[in-house]
Amino acid sequence: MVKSITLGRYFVGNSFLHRANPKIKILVTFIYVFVLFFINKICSYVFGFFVIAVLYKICKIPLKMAFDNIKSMAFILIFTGFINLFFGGNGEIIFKLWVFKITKVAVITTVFVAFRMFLLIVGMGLLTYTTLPLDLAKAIGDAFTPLKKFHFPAGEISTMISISIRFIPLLMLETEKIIFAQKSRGVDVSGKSIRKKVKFIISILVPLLVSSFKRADELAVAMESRCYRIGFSRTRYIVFKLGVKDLILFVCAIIFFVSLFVIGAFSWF
Amino acid sequence: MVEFKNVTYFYEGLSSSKVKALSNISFKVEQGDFVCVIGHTGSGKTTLLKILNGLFKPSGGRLYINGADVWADKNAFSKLRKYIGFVFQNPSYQLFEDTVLKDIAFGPKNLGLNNLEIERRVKNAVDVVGISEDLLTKSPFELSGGQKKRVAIAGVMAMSPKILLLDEPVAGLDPKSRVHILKVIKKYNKDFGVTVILITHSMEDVYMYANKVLVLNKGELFSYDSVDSTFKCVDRLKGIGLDIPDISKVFLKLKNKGFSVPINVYSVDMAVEAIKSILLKRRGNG
Repeated sequence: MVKSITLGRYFVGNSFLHRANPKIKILVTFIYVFVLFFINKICSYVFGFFVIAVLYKICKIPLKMAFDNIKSMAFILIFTGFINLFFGGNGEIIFKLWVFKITKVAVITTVFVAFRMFLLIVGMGLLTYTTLPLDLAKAIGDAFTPLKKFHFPAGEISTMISISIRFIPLLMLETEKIIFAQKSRGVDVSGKSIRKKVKFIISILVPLLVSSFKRADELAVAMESRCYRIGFSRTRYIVFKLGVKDLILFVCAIIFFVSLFVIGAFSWF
Repeated sequence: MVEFKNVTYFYEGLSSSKVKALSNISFKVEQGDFVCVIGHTGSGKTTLLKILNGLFKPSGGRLYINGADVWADKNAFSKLRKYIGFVFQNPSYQLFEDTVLKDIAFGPKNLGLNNLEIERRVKNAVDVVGISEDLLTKSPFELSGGQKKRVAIAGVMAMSPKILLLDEPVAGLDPKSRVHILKVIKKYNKDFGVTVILITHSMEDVYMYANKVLVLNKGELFSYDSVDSTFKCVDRLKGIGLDIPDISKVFLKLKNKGFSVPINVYSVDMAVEAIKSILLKRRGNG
């Protein structure tokens, strides 16, 4: 169960992307998402995918991971695809059945959206696969820091994100243990009746909730006993400094994005 | 009767690598045995119990219960949970009902018994474990650690298993609760002829309660023998990083200092005997 979640998983490695500053990585990913929505040529998409596939290779992440992610999101992709296909625009009708009609524009939009979603997932995967979740959380927290001037609780939010990310694997492990414990007390997991199913879920949720609250309580005490205070400015053990390498990475990314547009401008499809 | 035949188990590690947790384990447990499973952290003790309870499917080898291959015979597998009860290390993983009484009744209810039988079994389990009357209507979350443990054990005993598995039932408890719970388990084993398989880190518990010891070392079966034969080679146990009874440590140290004492001593009574015989010998010589 725990192993089936591939998005947000970190791959140990030592590639230039692994070592890059998480802030820059987030910024580049952010721009990438925007760029994706402005390019509308198949050639650009193919080139984009080629570059990302090479990056996967360099980072030694199996490309299979990217496809696994697509699989887990297949439902959303297919659903949006259908909506686009049937309600996605006016113009020349190429297929008609009762109230459903498919236009040429709609087909093109559907194909583009599918490519965009695909590249989006594959590209974002690159960020999470090469960045430790906690580093990611810290970088996101840092991104909020300028908002402190407007009394935005940037520090607290950063801590909250870090703690939540830290606890996801723990809670999953605990859920697994609770399921085991209840299973061996004879809970019928494959029970068909709704009453049995509800009983099964309750028997897992209650211990999970109780232990989460207990954990939260203990963590709060542990943090306080080490002088954690809300609203107090904290220093970090590891400070992300921007270096020449990060600048190079950023410039390379910009070149990549520009080339996507250039390829788009010089091709017909 | 339980039999492991060449059981191997792999965990799926990150990026589909495989981690060996148990390799080629074969042993037999007879009905009514009290088996202690000992081994260093990560030696595969809990995995062994989880396989025994059908929670993990062995990657290789077979598990026989009363002669039936559990993973080949659907009928045997469906009976497995009725036949084997498992008390997990942390009691808060299983307590969820609003009263202690309901929680103990949860297991037997799942077995689809009638109310009269459920009541009888719950009462029996409460008596055996020794949970006081006033606790029964309380919420399980208000109890102390030792009380929670008792309720968890009673909840599994109420299912009347033929085999009881316990994963470190006394870890982190105060000495009084420790002794109480271990005595309850021993009594349950003796009075009802229930097989007990118990993971522990305390060697004192092993010689006090067990009649057989299963030693695991790095996923391999190091030995499976009676308590006497296992402790005959305390130095070997020490060699695989296991804690040995304090009294054995004393005797090993005496031996190292040059005294001619036996090193297979593992209880205070045996120590007294050993020292007596040495003194007698000396007196005889002198």
